[in-house]
Amino acid sequence: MVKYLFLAALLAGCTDTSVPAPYRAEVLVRDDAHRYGLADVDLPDLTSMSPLADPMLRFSDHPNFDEDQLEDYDAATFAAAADYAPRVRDADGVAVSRDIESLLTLTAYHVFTGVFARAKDVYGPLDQLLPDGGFQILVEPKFNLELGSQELGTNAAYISGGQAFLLVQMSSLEQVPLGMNPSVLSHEFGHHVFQITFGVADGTCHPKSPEAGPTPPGRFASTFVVSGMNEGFADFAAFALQGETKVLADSIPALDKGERTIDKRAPGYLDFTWGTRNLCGDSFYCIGTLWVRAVFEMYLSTGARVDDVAARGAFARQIVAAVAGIPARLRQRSGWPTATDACDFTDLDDEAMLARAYVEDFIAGLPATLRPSACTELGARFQITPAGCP
Amino acid sequence: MKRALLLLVAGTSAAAASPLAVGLAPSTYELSDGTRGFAPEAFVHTYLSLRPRLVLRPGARIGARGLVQPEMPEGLRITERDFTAQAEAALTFDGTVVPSLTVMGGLDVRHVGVEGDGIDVSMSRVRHNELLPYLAVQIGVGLPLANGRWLVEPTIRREFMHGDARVDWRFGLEVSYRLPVSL
Repeated sequence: MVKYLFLAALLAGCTDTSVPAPYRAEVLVRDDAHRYGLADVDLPDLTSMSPLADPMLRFSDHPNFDEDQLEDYDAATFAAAADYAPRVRDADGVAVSRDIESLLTLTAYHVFTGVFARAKDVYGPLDQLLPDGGFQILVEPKFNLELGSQELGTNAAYISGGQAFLLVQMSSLEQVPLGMNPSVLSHEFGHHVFQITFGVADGTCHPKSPEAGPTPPGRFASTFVVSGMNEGFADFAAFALQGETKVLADSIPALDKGERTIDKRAPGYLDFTWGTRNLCGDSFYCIGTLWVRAVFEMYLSTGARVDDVAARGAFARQIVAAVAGIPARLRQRSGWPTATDACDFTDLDDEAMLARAYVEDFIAGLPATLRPSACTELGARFQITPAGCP
Repeated sequence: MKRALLLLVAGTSAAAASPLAVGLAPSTYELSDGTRGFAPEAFVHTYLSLRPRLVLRPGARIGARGLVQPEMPEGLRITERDFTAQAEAALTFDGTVVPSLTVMGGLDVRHVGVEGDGIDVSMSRVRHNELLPYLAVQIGVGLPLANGRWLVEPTIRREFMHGDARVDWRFGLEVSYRLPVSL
């Protein structure tokens, strides 16, 4: 009798970790007023809870990330990483997380699928946007870096060559975890859009077969200026996909000093120009912020509202087309210093020259209706009179 | 039932002259963020001589985990706090040092909590209690002090918790005192 009572007590206390499909899960959700809360959602496309995967997203469990992989990664780098399975329990058919990391991954899955759905509306057909093999999500990778890891320790990231996103270890600096924030993951998806537009057009450098000359493949993408433009483009993606104008505000308000705010009407906006970007910290992010602030004002100049998803989509497609054409126009220019070190093109250190060229070639790819406002807004922020502008 | 009672009485008789020791065992294990957690335990041991110098050391222990939580966002925290109760049996060899091999089994009662700061967790079902079966194998090297009345024993333990693969290695230091009484 005693042993049956003990067994019954044991079974009653044990946790049912098998959740039935189709899947529902408790995740962190955000409403239009940027209020966050835990709530149940459907995950109709999820094909497997353990491991967490569907045809477009595969989660990998704490892969080791060495420094050389940061410089030379591709889709095969993490192919052998173990699959990630969130620790959940079945609560009336709903997958409820048993730890914070599982909540992070389930929420990130939900947010990414929402970002992809919105990207289809904003940018166009998904088959042109998403890689054939889908994305790999590296869950809290363990870094083995000589460099400081503070930025890596509080971040989400996109690895362009690896078609992968990173969800880095959470920290107490975060309010809303970065990996659960739709605006932040839209920003990361923006890096992917930049990669398949500017990055593909710029080309990939080949470390073992260096191609010398002024514009070898991949010449521009890794420069300080274009890295900044990439960040600005990613902040623009957060605006296009989510209507976001303060991408960091929800997640790390303590670090948000207004230097990433793109709407000059917003409280706390930190104003600066190319000549005063030291006010922003002189990071390459600041260069991108100059660009995206100008693009945001161009959008408003069309008369569209910030919350108009269709208008944002139509505008975003024009911006993406213009950015995709920049590398070809950059290569047609003369005067670039000769690259001597394949895949390490930081010798292109005339930042003002490259920034001017990028801005001018961006404007050249815009429809005529947008060029006047582009000339005004970009010219004022970069303190130039772009070629072709009055 | 009658047979079980007879076995219990026989076991008690066999251990009637067994010495008794009590101790504390602070230990550390890796948290999910790569930092170290602290897990204290309290235990009681008795000693049954099997052969000269070869001793069976049965015992019981209780402990806690989750006193230190991994770093989490300010706005949303899921905490895990555990209370454990285990029975154990060790083989030890009495010498200048006392090596030991221990097998442990028991239950872990875990309270999972959720806290929100600016994030609404009122509808959440994260908060609950779990009962997790637990097994472990531990090796240690005891250093007898004060004619064996005290035993200081660094330990390394491999833990297996059903439903939680994150639980793996634990490093600790057991300090026991042999009481001037016997079972």
